[in-house]
Amino acid sequence: MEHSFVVTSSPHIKSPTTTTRIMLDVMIALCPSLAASVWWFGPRTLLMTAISVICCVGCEWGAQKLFRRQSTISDLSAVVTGMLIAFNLPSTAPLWLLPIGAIFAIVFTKQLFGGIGQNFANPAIVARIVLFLSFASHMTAYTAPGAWRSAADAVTTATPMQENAVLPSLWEMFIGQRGGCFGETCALALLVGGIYLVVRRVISPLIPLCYIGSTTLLCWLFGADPLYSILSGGLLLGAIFMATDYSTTPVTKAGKVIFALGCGLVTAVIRSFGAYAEGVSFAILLMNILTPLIDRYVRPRPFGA
Amino acid sequence: MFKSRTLRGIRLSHKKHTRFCETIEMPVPATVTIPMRQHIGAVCDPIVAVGDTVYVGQKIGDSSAFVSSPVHSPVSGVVKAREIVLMPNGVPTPSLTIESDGLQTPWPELKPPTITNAKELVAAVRESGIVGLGGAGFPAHVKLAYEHMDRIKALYINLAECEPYITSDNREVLENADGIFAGIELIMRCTQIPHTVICVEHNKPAAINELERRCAGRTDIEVRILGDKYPKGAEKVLLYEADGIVVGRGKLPADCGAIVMNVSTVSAIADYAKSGMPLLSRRLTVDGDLVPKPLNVRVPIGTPIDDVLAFCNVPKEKLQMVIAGGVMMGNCVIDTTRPVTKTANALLCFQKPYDRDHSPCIRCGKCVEACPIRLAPLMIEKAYARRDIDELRRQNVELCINCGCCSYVCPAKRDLSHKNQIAKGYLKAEDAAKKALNIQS
Repeated sequence: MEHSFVVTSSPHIKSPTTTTRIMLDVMIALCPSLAASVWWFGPRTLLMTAISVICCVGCEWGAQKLFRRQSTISDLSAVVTGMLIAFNLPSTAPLWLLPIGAIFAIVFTKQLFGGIGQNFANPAIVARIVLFLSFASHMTAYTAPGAWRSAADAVTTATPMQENAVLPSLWEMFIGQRGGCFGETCALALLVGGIYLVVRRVISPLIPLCYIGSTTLLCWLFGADPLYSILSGGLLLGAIFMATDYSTTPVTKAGKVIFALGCGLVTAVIRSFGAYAEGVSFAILLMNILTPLIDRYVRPRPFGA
Repeated sequence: MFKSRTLRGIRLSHKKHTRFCETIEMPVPATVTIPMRQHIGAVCDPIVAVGDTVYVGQKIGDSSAFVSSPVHSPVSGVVKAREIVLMPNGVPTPSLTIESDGLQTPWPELKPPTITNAKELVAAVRESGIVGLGGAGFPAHVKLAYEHMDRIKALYINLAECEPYITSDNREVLENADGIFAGIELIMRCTQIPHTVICVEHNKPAAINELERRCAGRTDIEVRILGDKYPKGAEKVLLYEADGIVVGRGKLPADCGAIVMNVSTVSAIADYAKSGMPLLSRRLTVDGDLVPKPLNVRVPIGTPIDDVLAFCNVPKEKLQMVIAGGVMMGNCVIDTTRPVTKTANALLCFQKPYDRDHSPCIRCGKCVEACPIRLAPLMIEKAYARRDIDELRRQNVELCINCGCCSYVCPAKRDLSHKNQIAKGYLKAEDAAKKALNIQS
């Protein structure tokens, strides 16, 4: 044979979508929120995001070197995790929290369980919970939005979820003029990012809608203001960017709905009756752990079976 | 609950560049190689010896098995060799090589068959060597020999042609509509099937026009226009979307009151009934980024692929991948000296195959969203990796139709559809082994 050919199994064409492209889309979708955080909390949020991304990518590279795995840093998933960890910190948080978060997210949650697609929980959620439980004072030292522009020392402010606080108006909440973790405050920017992800078909709107809907309904039944429950805390960031993580959510539509309703229930119960003001990260973590079970019992019914 | 009558699938760019290209006859090649199996079923035994003189249309291989289809010589000349040829599906198959004398002398014993009833139709179609020309190659007479023909409600003519590039069935309508309708009428007359539905994807307006014009005022034949989401041409998908027929596990369309035949198969039957000339050639779409002028060409079966590529001016030095059939379900050609077979509806030539590097599964669920049968290919892949028979059974892997949608959409570029086939084979082998053990004990 004077000429050899490439012989592979069918199909012989593939869609242009790649893992890297999907992660890039998530990064793009996070950018409006990053921009809003710079506006409200100053350029320090940019620095924090950059450090967090570098730490996460570094952890991924290092862990894979150590475990003698092929490096997957080019798929950008560690970059997304890095952005999300930073977004879950207040703008005044000390920078040394970031490498700790990165190690818990990338090494303990992701690489020790086998890398991308194998992690049992969303790495950024685990990092947030670890940091929140270990360094509570740093994690709840919220500054007033816009304070960085006046040269004065940062004034700490209460999150609307804490008692005895002067609540910002709904409009202020919507545009992000409130205290909180810097990536979660601006509902407008998060929604823009979410719509981008839906339009690009990276996520289906099923999980965010069911999650936000059920949280709102239950909070309202438990006596809270429904609109405030949507806009406060990390609900939008969690519902759009963290509860939609592929690896840790069910693969079927029905499974996704169950997952999202479960998240909504846990969030509403923690918010209304729990010791913590915020329940989004615990809700997502709990449902992440239930995901294999949901996938086991909620199977698509095949055509003609 | 509201039930929409479409199954899942994927949107592909159609790339039907050749839809306006009238079929060109390819000259008779110097030699042809006729594999003894170009169909699903038993392999044929050669009935001529090396050194024999054969004529156009002469039967040169046949089998005593019912599920088989004889092969014929498309040229007149001398049988030069008998050898084993590796077919594109990886099965080594005995083949006869015939050197043409260029005279194209027809076999003197050829005469049109007399077909008046179902039995004669089945015998004639078997004799003609006609197999499903859509790509699968199931012997056409086997479908027509269904024992409870009275239970068949309709004949479905498959004109979905859902694969990108291929237009050979589309051209059949535009160039040989008489043959198609003659074939449909012949089958309906002999088998007493009361109704025919021609199923066509809506991306073929010219063919739809022609068919509707001919069906106007008729109640026995109708045209059904389907959407153009891939894979519409898969039997199960076609029947469900045309008439809501669900072909369940282990069932044939005939068990559900339907017979599905490809449009070119039907017209080939009519041509044989008229002339008595068996299936000797077929229409191929030759396309791909290395084909300077994509075209449809009628090629004698057994022509070396090299001859077709040369005829179409494909620069062979740049050629890296040749696909016999479509890009979604076709097979790669290993060696272009191999012949064109009855089932090849296209030859696609590419300079650059896509990058096959794959990365870990991210569980995005796109394969589940794309699967027309609603399987979960990502779960099947994982179950197969740990050889978990029970889980493979729970995942219903045997229902996979190998359409390739899952592999196509996978962002990690995993060969899911290929894994499904391997898992299917694994399950079958395990079942067979279990059976053998039971018999022994």
